[in-house]
Amino acid sequence: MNSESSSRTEQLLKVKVSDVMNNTVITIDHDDLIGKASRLMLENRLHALLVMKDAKPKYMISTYDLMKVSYEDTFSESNADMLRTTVEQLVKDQKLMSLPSSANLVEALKIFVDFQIHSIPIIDEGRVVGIVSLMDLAGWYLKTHEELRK
Amino acid sequence: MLEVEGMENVPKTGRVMLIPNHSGILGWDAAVLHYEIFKSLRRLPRTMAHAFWESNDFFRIGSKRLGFFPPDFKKAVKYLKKNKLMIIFPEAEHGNFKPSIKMYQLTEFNPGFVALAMMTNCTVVPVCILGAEENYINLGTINWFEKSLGAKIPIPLNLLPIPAKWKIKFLPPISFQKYNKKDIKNEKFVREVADNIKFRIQSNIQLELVKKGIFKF
Repeated sequence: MNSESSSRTEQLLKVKVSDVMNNTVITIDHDDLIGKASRLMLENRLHALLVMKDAKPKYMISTYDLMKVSYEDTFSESNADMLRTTVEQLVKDQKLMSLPSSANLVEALKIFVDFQIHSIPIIDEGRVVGIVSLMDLAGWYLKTHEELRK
Repeated sequence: MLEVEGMENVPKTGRVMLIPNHSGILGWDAAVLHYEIFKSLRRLPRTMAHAFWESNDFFRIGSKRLGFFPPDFKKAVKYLKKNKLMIIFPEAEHGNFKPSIKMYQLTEFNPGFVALAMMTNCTVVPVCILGAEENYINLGTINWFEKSLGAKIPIPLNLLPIPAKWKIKFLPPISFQKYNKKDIKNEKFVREVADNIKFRIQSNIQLELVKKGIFKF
């Protein structure tokens, strides 16, 4: 490893998720319909939404969850109708992966890879302060690496 | 100049509800849509219009002859049960009088038409109308006379319409046969169906605008 890449690794290790995260978080209520989740993702070009229950973050619903519903609907009407199924009914078995804003970016990278997810909510003492997605990461990378923008 | 696409999506017989976006202050979009439907299908649409058109005898008689009727749920059910073709603008005056700065950005849809369509087992055809927005430049609305007139007053910059190319696009029909009365009682269901139809119209408008090459957002 040359000195340039080792200094870059050191810099990366210092980066916090709060440096990369997006403060605008689009949420959906646990008893909203999955049709609404699909529409919000399409309108805002998102891969996942944070699901709230009793004003607290409870689950994430992703494009994969919704794709599964439409794929299962290919040959017959699935039980999970877009206009009858609530978000909670679809994702109730999932565990919410989150990080505090003080966490290092490397921890987020590990979660992205290990759990194959695209977005992680950033939660400080039960309060949602932001969300970090692969798109935020790409944006941050381009912003902080001047030479790539030339 | 007017281009029409997808007229084959409008049933020639039976009850059907057309759901278009609304714009252009004076309601030319309703008039042009009426004319095109009548010309192509020989069907006289029943259009749910603002209560303003019922405010005096002159307007009432004229608008009734053209097939307009005030927002009355019972009357709408009656027409649909007689297998009429109905036009409802779910944006109402909010869409019609929106300032030009919000051109082609649909306002919230009143979901009443969803319950109406489901109750009468009526097919819904979403419609995109392009061009009406460009006829008038609207600076905004005055709300001072809303109580006395029952409507806001727009502030158009021009009185004569600016020439614009129009396009009416009829989207594929939607049937609610899969759903039942229990679903109508679910407020979130009704709201989401209205938003789903709004989304279809908005997405198609954006596609058309990109094709047109004037507005890109």
